[in-house]
Amino acid sequence: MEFSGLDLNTVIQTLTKILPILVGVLVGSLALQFVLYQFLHKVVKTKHALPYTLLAPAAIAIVAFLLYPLGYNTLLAFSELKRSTFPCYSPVAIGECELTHLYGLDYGFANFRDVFFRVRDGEILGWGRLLRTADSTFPVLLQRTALWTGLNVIFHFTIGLGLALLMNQKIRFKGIYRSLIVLPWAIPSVITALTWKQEFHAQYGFVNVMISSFGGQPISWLDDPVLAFVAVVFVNVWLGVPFYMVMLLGGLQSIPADFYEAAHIDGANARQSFWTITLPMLRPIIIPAVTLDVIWTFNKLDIIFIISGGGPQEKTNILVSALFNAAFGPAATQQLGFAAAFSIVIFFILFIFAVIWITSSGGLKEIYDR
Amino acid sequence: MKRTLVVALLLLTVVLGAVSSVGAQDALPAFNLVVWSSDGESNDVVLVEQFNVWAETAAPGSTIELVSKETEALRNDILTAGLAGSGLPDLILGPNDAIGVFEDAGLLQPLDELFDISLYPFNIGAAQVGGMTYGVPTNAGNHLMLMVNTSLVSEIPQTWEELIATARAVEEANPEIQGFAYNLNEPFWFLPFVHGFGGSTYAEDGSMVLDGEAWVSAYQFVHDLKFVEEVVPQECDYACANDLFKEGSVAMILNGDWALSEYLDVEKSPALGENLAVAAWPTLANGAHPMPFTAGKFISIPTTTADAQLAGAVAFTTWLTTDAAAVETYSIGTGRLPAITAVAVDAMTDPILAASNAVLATGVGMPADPTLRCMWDSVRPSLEGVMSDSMTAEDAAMESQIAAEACLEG
Repeated sequence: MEFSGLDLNTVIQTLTKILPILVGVLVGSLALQFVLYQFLHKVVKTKHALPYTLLAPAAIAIVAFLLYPLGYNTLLAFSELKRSTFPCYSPVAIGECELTHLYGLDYGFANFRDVFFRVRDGEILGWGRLLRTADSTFPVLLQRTALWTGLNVIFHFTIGLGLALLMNQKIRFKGIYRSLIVLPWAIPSVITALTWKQEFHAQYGFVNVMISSFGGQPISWLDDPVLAFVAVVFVNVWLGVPFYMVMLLGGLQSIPADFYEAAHIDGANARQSFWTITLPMLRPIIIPAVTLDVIWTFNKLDIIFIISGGGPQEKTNILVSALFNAAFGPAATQQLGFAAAFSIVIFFILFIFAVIWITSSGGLKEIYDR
Repeated sequence: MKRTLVVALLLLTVVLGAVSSVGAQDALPAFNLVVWSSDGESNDVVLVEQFNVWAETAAPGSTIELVSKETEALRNDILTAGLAGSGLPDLILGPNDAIGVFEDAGLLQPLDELFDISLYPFNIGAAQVGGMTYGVPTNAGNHLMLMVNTSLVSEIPQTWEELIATARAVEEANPEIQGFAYNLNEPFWFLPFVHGFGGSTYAEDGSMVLDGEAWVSAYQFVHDLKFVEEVVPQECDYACANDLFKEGSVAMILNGDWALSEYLDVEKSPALGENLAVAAWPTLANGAHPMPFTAGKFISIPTTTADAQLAGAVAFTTWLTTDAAAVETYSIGTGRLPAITAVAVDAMTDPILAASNAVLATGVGMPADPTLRCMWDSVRPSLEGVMSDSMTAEDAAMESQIAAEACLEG
C-alpha cells in the first residue's frame, strides 16, 4: 500500500469500501419497508399501512441515533466508568475488576454530586472543579454560559433585525448585499473558527494589522481571558447574524404594506410603525428563532473549542466546552460516568429553560390553537 | 554433454525448489496491519515504506493501513475503541506517556514475552509500568533542543544572555525576522526550565510537588523572556514556531527531534536543509542547562491483536527496531536517535544526530506513570496565566499544586 493523502486512489478506495455499504443499506431498507407494508396491510389490516411504512425509516433513525445514545448516556451516568475501571466495562481490557456492580444509584448519586461539589470522606469541601482551575466550578461556568448566550442572542437579534430592515428597503444592489451577509452561514463553522483564530493572532492576525495601521498597539487577543472571550463572542455573533436576517426578512416581507399605509395616514411615524406593526407582526418568527438560538448558542462547542480551547486559564469555557474538555480534552481523566452525568445536568438546564420560555412567551400558541 | 546439462538443470531445479521452499516456510502468511500513529506524517511515510520493504520478503502480499493522529486524538480514540470492544488497531505508535494511560485502562499486552527487551537498553524503562514492558522504542529521544537557522545566526548561543543578544541582533538586522520563538504556553516546553532550576515533578517520597522554588523561578524566567526581555513573540504556539522556522522567518526555536526529518527536507523546509544546526539548551544563570524530558516513540500492542496479526506485528516491530538497515532508514533517516546500542555508535558521525545525542544526555527521563497527566493539566492554566501577565510566578506555582492535588484525588 502506498501512503497517500487525499488523492484519486484514496478516493476510489474509500468509495469502493463505502458504496457497497450504502447500496446494501438502501436495498435492505427498501426490502424491509416492503415487508413491513405487506405485514401492516395484509396481517394487521390497518388503513394507515402506507404512512406507517413511510415513517418507519425516520422512526428507526430516531431510535438508533437519538434515543439509544441518550439511553446509553443515562446508563453511563449511573456507572463508575473511568480509566482505572475499564476492565469492568470493556470486553477487551485485561486486568481485574474490583467493582461489585457495574451500574447503580450509588454511582449515579456520586457522579451527579461531583458535578456540583468537591467531597472528601463524605464531607462537602466546596464547589467541585469540573476541570483544573477554580474557574471551572459549576456556578462559574453557568454564569459564563448565561453571559455567552445572552450576549450572542442579543447581538444576533439586534444586528440581524437591523440588517433585515435595511434589506427590506428599496436599495440598489440589494441581492449582492444579501448574498454577502448570508455568506458566513454558507461556510462551515469549523472553517470560520479556524480562519478567525488566525485573524486574532497577536502578530500576524488581520485584526491587529488593522489596529496597527490606525496607530494602535497590537493586542494579545487569545492570551487574555477577557479579550479571548470577546473574540469568541465576536466570531459567534458574526456567524449567527445571517440566520436572524433571513428569518426576519422573510417575516418583514410577509407584512402587508396596507398596514403601514394605514398607519401613515393616521399620522404614525416610522418609530411608531416599528413598535406597533413590525415587531408584533414579527413575533411568531422572533419567538421560535430566539428559542432555537438560545439552545444552539448554549450548546455551541466548536467556536470556543477551536479558537480558545476554553483557555487561557480555562476562562473562556462554557458548560459544554468544559464538558468536552472533561471527557475528551487535553485535561481529560476519562471519567466517563461523571461526564455523562454532567451532560444530563446540561440537558435538564436547557430543557427547563425551553419549557419556561416557550410557555411564557406563547411561542407555540398558534400551532396549538390550530 | 547433453546428459550432463540435463542433470545439471535438474540439480539446479531441486536446489532452487529447496531454497524457495525454505523461504516459503520462513515467510509469514499475508496479513493486513492496522497502525495508529502520532509520530507525524513525514515519519509515517517512512514507516509505510519500511513495512513494504519488510513484507516483500518476510510476509509477501501483506498490507499496512496507517492512520496518522494527533497525540490527544490517539489517546481518546484508543480509549473509545477499547470501551466499544472493537476497532482497536494492531499496533499503536506514540509517546511513552500515553502508554501509562493505556496500561491503566488494561488495553495493552505486556511485551516481555514477545520481544527481547534487552536489545533496547537506553529507554525501555520509559515504557515499563509495574515492572512489565508495554512498549518497544523505535527511537530514543523525543527531546526538545535548540534549533538554529545558521544562515541567520552565525554563532550558536551558549547562555540565555547570549541567546537574547543574538535574537535582538537578528531582529535589528532583519526587522521581518523573529529572533527566537517557541511553543510558549505548552507545559512540555516549560518543564526543561523547571529541571534546569533544580526542580522535578515528583518529590523523593513520590508525591507530586509543583510549587517549589524551582517552579517559581521557572515561571518567572519564562515570564521575563516575554515581558521583560521581549525576546519571544506576543503569542506563539507549535504551529507558529514550526511554520515560521521552516520558512526562515524565525532564527532560533526550541523543538523536538520528531521535527528534524521535515527540517532536513529542503522541499518542506526551503529555508533550512543544510542551514539547520542543533544545539543544547543555553545555560541558565546558575550554569545549568534546562533539561528536556526524554523518552522516545514506542510501539505498543493492544490486547485485541492476535493470531496472524500478532505474529506479523511482532516480527515487523522487531525488524524495524533492530535490523541495522531498517534503523538506519527509519530512525536515523528521520533525524532520530536509534534505541539500540549497535547502531547508536555509527549514528554519531552525523553532526545533527551527534548534537541531538548530546542534548539527550542532559535530559530527564519521562516516566510512563499515568499521574503525570495531572502535572501537565495542572501546569497548563498556570503557565497561561503567567504568559498573559495576569498571574504571578508564586500564584501560578501555588494554583498548579492545588489543581494537581484535586486531580490526583479524582
